[in-house]
Amino acid sequence: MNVKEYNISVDQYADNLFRFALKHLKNEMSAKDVVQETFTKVWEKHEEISFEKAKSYLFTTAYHAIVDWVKKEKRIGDDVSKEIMSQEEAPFDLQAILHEALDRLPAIQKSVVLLRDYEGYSYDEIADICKLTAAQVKVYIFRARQTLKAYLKSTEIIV
Amino acid sequence: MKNAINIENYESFYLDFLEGNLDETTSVLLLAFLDEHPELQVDCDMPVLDEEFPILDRMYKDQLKVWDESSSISHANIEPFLIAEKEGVLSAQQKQELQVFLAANKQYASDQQLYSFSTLQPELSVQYPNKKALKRKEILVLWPYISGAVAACIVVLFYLFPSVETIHLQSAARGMSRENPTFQQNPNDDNHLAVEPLIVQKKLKKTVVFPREIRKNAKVDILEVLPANELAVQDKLPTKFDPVTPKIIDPKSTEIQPSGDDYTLAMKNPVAPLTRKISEVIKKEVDYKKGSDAKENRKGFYLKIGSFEISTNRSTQPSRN
Repeated sequence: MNVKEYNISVDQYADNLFRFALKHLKNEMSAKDVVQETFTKVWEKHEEISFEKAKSYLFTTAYHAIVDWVKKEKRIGDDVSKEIMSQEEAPFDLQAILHEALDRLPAIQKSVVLLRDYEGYSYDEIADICKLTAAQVKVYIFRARQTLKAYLKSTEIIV
Repeated sequence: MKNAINIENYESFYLDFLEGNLDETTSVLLLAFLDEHPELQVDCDMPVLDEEFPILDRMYKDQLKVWDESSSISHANIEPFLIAEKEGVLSAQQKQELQVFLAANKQYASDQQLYSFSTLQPELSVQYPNKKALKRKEILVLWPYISGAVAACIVVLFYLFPSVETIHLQSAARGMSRENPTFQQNPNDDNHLAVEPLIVQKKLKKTVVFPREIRKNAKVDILEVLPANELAVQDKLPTKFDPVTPKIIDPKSTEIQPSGDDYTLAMKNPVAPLTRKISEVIKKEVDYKKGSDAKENRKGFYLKIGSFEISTNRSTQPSRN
């Protein structure tokens, strides 16, 4: 990947990575840090990465950065994300409810569902990013869908 | 058996008794032994673990199960099939079977609808604020272009500013022309044969022809002609005028003047990569050679740029004038 292709990757995937990180971290500053750290790591190895694999490499790197960040925050016991969540207004549309339900999922289920719905990755691609098997990914997605459906049903938003 | 129970092992018999694992005979013997030894305080109210513990709910247990894709659709596994339909991983046959099952069991229609709505959509309004800071700048390698421009400037300098030897030669040539009118060519002479022009006339912009070449009917002023035995010499352009008899060459002859001179062969191009580069830049043949001959005490150079050629061959001995 040359400089031009790297810069094209920035234009194409920076927003996607930012949304992915923000959904996990619920903190804009942390999400920006993850995006910056991701692109820095990819730039360091850009000569070894082909342009066609750039997206996959970016999301893999971002996913691991998010996992590390979450572990670190759990040790510190940061309550900022909880405060942000509590300040959110009550959802009034389907997507808002779904995103509220998304926050109730375990981190790994949240990751696989976001990669599936936001980025359209296949089970195999998600498995590569999250270092799982395709069977595990399928199981996590199935469980996540059941949780989301149960939450939708409980809100009775759909008649 | 009565002797089997003693103060060393009564406790194990007692535990078996509590758990109901002793037969009637052994139980009677144990109780008799305990009556005989009241100092052994046996606690009849021994704590027992509570057998009640939480039961996992059905939904949690269902989530732990792995969906068997090859199984037929039933009430027990309708949920995984509905999810698989939403994920788009059902085969055509499975889709058909599912439709048949749902048609027969309309209570699952709402679940199917809820699963169809469970796709998350990205919030496109959420964007990374400063993408420009993430980008890297391209470093343009300029040295090939700079070196080509320098080479082109050198070529132009050579063209615009001729060497000192050339200027002297031109002055000598003009002198020779005035003093030796017999050397001038008569263009109306039918018997005129071509003679090799050897000196550049800058004003007339004629080009020097390399001694090896023969031009037919070349209409130039004969300013100086080298003697025959010196024709093979590449560039002998003396700084002092030496009148010589012109040699007339038959233009029909295709013989190429032999060069075979050791001095000529000793000329070499010391900057072959540069001349090649300049040639590529200006799209014309460029050649430069220099050489010397210690025996002859001579040194000189030869430069060719396209159709322009210039050379010098001067003695290293001090000038007589």
